[in-house]
Amino acid sequence: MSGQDRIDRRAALGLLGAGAASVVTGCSTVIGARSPRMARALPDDLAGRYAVPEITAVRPEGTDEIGRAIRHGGRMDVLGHDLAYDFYVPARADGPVPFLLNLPILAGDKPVNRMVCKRLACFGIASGTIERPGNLFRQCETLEQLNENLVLTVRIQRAFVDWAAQRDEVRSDELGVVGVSMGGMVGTLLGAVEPRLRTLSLCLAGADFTDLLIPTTARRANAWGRQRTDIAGISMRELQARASQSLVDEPARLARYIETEKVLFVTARYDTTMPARNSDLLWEALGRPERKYLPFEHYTAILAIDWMIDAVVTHSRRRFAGLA
Amino acid sequence: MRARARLAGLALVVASLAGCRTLAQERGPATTAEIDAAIERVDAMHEQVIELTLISTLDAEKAFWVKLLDRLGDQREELTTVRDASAAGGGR
Repeated sequence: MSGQDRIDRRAALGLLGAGAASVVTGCSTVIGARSPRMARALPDDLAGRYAVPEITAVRPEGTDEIGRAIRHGGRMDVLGHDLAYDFYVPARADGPVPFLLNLPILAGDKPVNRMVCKRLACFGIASGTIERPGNLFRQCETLEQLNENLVLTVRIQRAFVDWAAQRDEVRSDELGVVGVSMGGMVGTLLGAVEPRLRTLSLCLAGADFTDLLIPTTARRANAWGRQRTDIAGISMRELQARASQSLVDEPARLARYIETEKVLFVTARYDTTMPARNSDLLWEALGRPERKYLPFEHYTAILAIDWMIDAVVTHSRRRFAGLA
Repeated sequence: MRARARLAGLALVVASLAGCRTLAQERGPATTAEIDAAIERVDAMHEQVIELTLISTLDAEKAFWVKLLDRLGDQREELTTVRDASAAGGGR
């Protein structure tokens, strides 16, 4: 081996070591809540707007064992929508366990949900997901429809939490949310209006829908923006201005109704889909909760999913133990 | 001439410090209630700045408001630290 080869090999090993070190240290970067605040009281009009709807029918469709989790699948009717749900419980549990509602990423599909729920079951935590009504940003919705759809989504999630809390397998006083990306934004709205949720883990989330319409790299949101500007014959800037009037149910606005210490906030350092400005805005609006950083981009953060779930479980357990 | 100017400057600094000291002695340390009121004012301002962030459409304007939120967050943390220290030290 020539001298140059040895130097190249050392340089490569050095770079590899530095990369590994940055992943390890990056994952462990934590900023705790230094000045947590209490939640403001939810105004009556908001409480009424986000009232829990009734589930009119539940149709179980089967049960199967996946690793250390048992999945109960089925469909339920809520507010005239026929929606699929999945409810996971640990295969070996001595009595009722905590429940975390899983709110997935906009482009999240079943395999990702299943991975999260299976992992939570390994930690002895039940979890579940329910389908979103309609497809956000896929039906060329108007701004008003988009806002209504968000409210509807949150109300349906409340109904699902209510249903899960009444299951024999679940401890009704140990409920929480884990939301990723768009799921984290919906999770913020849900956390503001659902007082039974004791813990909120908001990962790769941010605020200001209006600001996210232009700089985002999320294809669905971008395509929706282009369609709306074409139909209305307006510029993207004009659409933004109109959105700031119409999208009133905004995570940054509702965050004040959430107690800071309920929240674990996970950010990807190199996120371009959820830019730092939007992520910082939500973190500030929540009163600067405990924050952890991942040395990844939005979509590559999936590589740290196990670490993320470990952090969620630690935070949730600490919250539940404190309230016991 | 230079020496006189220096002397005058020094006298000004001493007088300012003495004045500040006198003011501080007159007002005394802040009470916990005063600090709580200051935190409430910061919180109210914080909520207004969030609203301004959401309604602004210019990129530079949004960046400015988010930066201001960051400063207000720092301010709140500082005030909380002072309040906690005051409470721990048996403050008024």
